[in-house]
Amino acid sequence: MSVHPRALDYPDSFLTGVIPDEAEITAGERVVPGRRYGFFTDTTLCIGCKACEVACKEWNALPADDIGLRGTSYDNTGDLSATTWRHVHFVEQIAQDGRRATEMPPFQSNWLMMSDVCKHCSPAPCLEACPTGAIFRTEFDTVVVQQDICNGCGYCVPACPFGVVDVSLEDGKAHKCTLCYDRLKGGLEPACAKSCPTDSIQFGELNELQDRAHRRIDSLHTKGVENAYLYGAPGEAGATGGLRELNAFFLLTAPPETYNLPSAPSRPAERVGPSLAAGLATIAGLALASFALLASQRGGRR
Amino acid sequence: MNDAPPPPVSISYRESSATYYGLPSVKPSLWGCLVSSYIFLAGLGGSAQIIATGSALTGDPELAPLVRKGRYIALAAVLVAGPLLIIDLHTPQRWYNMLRIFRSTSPMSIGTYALVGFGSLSAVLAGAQFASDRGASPGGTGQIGIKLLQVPAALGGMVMSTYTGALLSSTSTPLWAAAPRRLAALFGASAMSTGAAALSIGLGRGADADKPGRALDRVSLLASAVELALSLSLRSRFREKGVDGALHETGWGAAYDFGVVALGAGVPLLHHGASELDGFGQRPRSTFLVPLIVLAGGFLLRHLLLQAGNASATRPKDYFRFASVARPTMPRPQRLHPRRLHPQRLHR
Repeated sequence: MSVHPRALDYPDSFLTGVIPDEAEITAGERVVPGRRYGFFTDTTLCIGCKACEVACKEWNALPADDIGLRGTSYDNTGDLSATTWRHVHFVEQIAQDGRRATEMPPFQSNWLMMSDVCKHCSPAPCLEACPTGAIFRTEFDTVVVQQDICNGCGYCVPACPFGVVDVSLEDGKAHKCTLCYDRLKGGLEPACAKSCPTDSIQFGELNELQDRAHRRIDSLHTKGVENAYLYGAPGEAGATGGLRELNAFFLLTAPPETYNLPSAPSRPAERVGPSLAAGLATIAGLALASFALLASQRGGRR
Repeated sequence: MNDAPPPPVSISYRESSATYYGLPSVKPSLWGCLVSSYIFLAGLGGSAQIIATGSALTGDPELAPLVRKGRYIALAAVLVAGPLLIIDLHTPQRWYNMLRIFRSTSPMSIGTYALVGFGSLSAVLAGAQFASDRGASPGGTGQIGIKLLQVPAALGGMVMSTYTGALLSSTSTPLWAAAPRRLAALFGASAMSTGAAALSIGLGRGADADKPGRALDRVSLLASAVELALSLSLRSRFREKGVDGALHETGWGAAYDFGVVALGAGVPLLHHGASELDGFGQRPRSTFLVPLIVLAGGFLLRHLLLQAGNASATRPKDYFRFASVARPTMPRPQRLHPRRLHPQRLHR
C-alpha cells in the first residue's frame, strides 16, 4: 500500500494540532456531511488483536469491563454493552459432535475472528423505538444516542435485532457506538478503523465500501474461499425483514449464527401495525358485544 | 494388528447450527414487575372506561352504578399506572422528554399520548361524576360535553387495553415478536375481563348492584371465552415458532396453563356460564372470589409473558429460530468440492 501524498506534509512525530481532514490520509476518504458513511468489517483479515476494542475505549473514555476469564475462548469481553462498543468474537472450531478436527480448509485456521459493532441499520430499529427522539440519524447517516435527551426508558434495548444498545445502570442512559460522531465532525477516521492493523475494519463512504466488499468477495472466491459472503449489504443476509441495509456490514465465512448474528433479522416496527390492528379489532368487537349485552338487560326481570 | 487410522474429520463451517458459546444474541428488556403492573392497570382502567361508556350509552338508569364506578376505576388505574412508568425510567427526572416528539413506529410513543389523552379524559369524566354524586347537576352544555367526551374516552380505553401488546411484540425478543397479533388480541380480551372484574368488586352487594352486576357477569363471560380461546391459540403459536422453550423449560409454562388459562379464563367461564344456564337470577352472584381470580389471572398473564420474554431473549437458539424465517433468500455459500476442502487428498 502506498502512503497518501498528504502524509508527507506531516513528517514530525509530534503535531501541533489536528491534521485537517485527517481521514483523507488514514482512510483515503474526506468526511463530508450529507454523505453516507459506514464500516466494512472483513473477518478474513481479522487477527483478533483487539486494538479496535482498546482504541474505542480510549477515545470514548469508556470504563473497563469486569476483568475475568470466561473460560470459553480468548474472548473475555462476551458481548457489546453500554461500555463496550467494539467487541471481537473468537470462534474456535476445533470439534463438532465430540469429534476433533484433523483437517483444515485452505487459508483458514480453525479460528474465526470478527470485530462486532453497532450496525447503524437503515432503518434503525432502536431509533424507530425511541419515544424521546434521543436516538437520531446524523448528517453522516449514522445512528447516535443523544445523552442529554435519553431518559433511560430502555425500549431501544429489546428493539435492537443485534443486541447492541444497552442502558447503563451507572448513569441511567442508553449507550452504543456513535461511529465516532465527534471524530467525523473533526474530519477524523473512527478510532477502531484507524487502529486496525490489518484493515479488517474499513471506514468509508457506504457505496464505495460496498463496491470494495463485492470486489473482495470475488477475489476470495477465485482464491478458493468460496464460502465468503457479505452480511448486511443490500440484498444479502442480514439485510432482511424490512432492514434495507446495515451501514456497518461484514464479510463472513461461516453461518451468521456462528458469529452470534441472526441470519434473517427483522425490523420490529413492521409489527406495530398488525399488532395494533388485531388488538383494536378484538377490543372493539368485545366492546360492541358488551354494549349489546348491557342494552339487552333493559327491562329484564330482576 | 494394525488399527486402521481414524477417518479424517473436518469441521463444516456451513452446516453448523451453532451459537456463540451459548451467549445471548439479543439483549432482554430491563422491565420487571413495575411494567407488568402498568400493562395490567392500563388494560383494567381502559376497559372499565369502555364498560362505563357503554352502560351510559344504553340510557338505562339501572346501569348508573356501572357508569359511576367505571369512571372512578378508570381514573384510579391511570393515577397509579402513570407514576409506575415514570419510576421505571432509568432517568425519571426526564420523563417529560416522552412528550418531545411523536413517533408512529414506536408503540411506547403511541402509548405515551394514549395515556395522556385517556388520563385527561378520565379525569374530566370522573370529576363530573364526582360533582353529580355530590348533588351538583351540570347545566345543559355540561351534560352534552360529558356525553361527547365519553366516546373518545372509550376509544382511548381501547388503545390503552391493547397497545401494550404492540409494545412488547415490536421488539426483537423472540417470545413477544413471534405472535404480534395474538398477543395484542389476548391483552385486549384480558383487559376487558379484568375491567369487568374490577367493576364487579366495586359494585359490591348493594340492592342496586344486582342488575348491573348480572349484566357485568355476561360481559365477563364473553370476555373470558375470548380470552380462553386466545390464550390457547397464543400458546400454540409459540410452539409453532419454536420459541416456547422459555415457557416450558421454566415454571412459567405451568403457571400459564394453570393460572392464566385454567383459573383466569376457565373459572369465570364455568361460573358465569353455569349461572347463565341455570336461568337469569337463579343463583347468587360471586361478587368477590371469581372477580379476584380473574384479576390475579390477568396480572399473572402480563407478568409471566414479560418475564418469560426476557428469558427468551437470553436463549440464542430461540432467537435464531425466530430470526431465520427469510432464510431461503439468503445466498448460501456454495458447497466446496471435497478435494478443494482437503488439499492433503490431492497428494495421495
